[in-house]
Amino acid sequence: MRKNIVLITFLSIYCLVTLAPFYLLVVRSFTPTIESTQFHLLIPERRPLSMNARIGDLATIYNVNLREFRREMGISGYMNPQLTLTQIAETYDNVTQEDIRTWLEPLVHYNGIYAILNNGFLTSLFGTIFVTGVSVIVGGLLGIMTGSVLAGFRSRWHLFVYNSYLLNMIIPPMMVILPQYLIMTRVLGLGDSYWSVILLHIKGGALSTMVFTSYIATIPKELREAVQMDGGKHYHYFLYVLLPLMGTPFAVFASITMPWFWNDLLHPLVLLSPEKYTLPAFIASIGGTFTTNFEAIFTGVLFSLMPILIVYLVFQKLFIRSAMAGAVKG
Amino acid sequence: MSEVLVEKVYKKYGLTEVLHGIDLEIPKGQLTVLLGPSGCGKSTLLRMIAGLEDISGGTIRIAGRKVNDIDPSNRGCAMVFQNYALYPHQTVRKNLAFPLKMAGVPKSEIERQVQATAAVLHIDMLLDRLPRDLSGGQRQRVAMGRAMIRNPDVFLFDEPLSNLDAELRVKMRLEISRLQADLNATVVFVTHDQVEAMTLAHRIVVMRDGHIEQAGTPLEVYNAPQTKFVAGFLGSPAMNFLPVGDVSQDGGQSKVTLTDGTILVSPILVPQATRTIGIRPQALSAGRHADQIQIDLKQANELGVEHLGDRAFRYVSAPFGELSLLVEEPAGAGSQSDLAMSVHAKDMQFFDADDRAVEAAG
Repeated sequence: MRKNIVLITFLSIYCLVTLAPFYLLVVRSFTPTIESTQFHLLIPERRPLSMNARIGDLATIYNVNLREFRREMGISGYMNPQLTLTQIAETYDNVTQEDIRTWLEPLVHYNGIYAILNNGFLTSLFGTIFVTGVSVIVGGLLGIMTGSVLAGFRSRWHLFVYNSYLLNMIIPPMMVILPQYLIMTRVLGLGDSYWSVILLHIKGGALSTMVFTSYIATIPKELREAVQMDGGKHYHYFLYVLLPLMGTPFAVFASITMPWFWNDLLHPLVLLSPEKYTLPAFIASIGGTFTTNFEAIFTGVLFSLMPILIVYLVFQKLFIRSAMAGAVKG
Repeated sequence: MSEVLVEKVYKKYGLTEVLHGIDLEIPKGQLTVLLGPSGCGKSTLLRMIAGLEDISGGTIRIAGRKVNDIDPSNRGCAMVFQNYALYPHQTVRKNLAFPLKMAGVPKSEIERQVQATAAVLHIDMLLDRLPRDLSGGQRQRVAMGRAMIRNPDVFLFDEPLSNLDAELRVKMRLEISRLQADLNATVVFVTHDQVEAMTLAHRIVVMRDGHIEQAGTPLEVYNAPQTKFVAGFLGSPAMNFLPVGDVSQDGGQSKVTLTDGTILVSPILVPQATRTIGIRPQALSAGRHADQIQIDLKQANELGVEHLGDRAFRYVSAPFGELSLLVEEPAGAGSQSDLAMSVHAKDMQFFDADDRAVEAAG
């Protein structure tokens, strides 16, 4: 009993320490950029929008879209970015201070969220889901197929194939980025296409071969022979016996490679145009050229973590369940 | 009539030859047991009949048809594997239905046959369970059901009982026996357990190192082993072997000198070629009996007694090896004088220098 209490206390502390960065990330996501040099344990109180702020500064610091601002306020033609908000209300007859405040205040108060949403977070999110999903599923399927062939045999040539897959994993991706770019754009004609990134992910995820080969090797060969005796072809074995058993290794493979694919910054940055950036590249690009909107960056990181966290929690069940139980004598 | 005919079958893995020209007939409607120590090639032979291993040389015929190049599923064989090989994520119903589904049998017919087979094996209440929720015996029944449902010409069993505990093994043994009789099925059963072989088989085929040593009914093989190996392999404890130094025949009697100098006087003629005398522990009795052949060992030590309740086995170490003999309970520790033994002349078996059985003349 005593031992349990010590264990529970220890684990709780461990949990808190592990979760602390996530908490700080949440706090950071709602901390205005102007206070980003200070350490906050709680989300700080927002100062009200100052009417003495220059509209140009707001545009650079808070990613406010000036064209949209003018359209909303009914301002046609050139607007001096040096004007303060009070001056704008004075200069243009049809604009009141109240109008400006109601339009700008939420934008400034929830700047992180607005900044990423207005700059294409959703497009980028769907792009990332597409790239990661296809990479994991196609990579996994290829791994299962390769593994099912490699697992049964132990000849020299199979080992050669197996090792060449693994060799691929020790080449630093940075070293081959230029040749890869040239092959993708010039040879395959996949410039600015999600498929170029997907192909590279599948290649980089050669880990799947290792995971599936070693797992399939543990499946008793009698199962294949039973299918053979029962009149099934190899594809029957693959579909009815092998695939349903791949839950556990697939969970292992997906949980290792999905964060790689999801968080990949280098390949999308090199191979895609800004409109197609996946999340990490997108977040890096909303940072700004002259100023850095930290609030938007942290919110972007936080929001890009959410989907993968959900997927992780779902996959966790698969780890615990032993899919093989009962196939042979237990 | 033979259902399976194996003619001069060889099996090579690379340069290693594991089966050296097997000739074997498996009669229809009978249970044939392939018996032998591990590594003797009995499983390989079974798998070659099933079609899971290539045949390096020779022919195998099933129901008169040469099957060397025919797919396993078209040979009319069904196999029960040692570890059952049930499809782990499919229910018992789907496991049973799988062979029929592969054969393209209509759904309603599949359902009817699954029900019928399950009823025969008493697994009809388990149909919606997964293999992992079944006990060992239940899994065994499902595996047998999956083999039965295709109505094959030949059933192949690859050590199916070795994963069960002793009690269940006896039960399943009877079950297999009953099913075989009910279906009048042709069964080839591989095992290394001689009790299983003796109790189940109509015919036993004893194999060793890729050869067939002897084939025959269980009692033939037990009572008249053709080689020393077969004699030693069947029976528990194993047969006692007394190495012979010299045999001299004198009138109607023979004088046999064992390698340690012990002299046996036999009322029947012991063949001159005899190099080993085999005596089952059950035939060897302690003490001196006037109507039997006396064995007074020169040097021997008592090793211990194994009590089985109704009887006991006594183990004795002699210079040429260990001897065991059956003694009545209660069996106390024997003294030096108890190490005299007797045996009926008819219970002795003789083997020559090549370990082949030689008949006693007269």
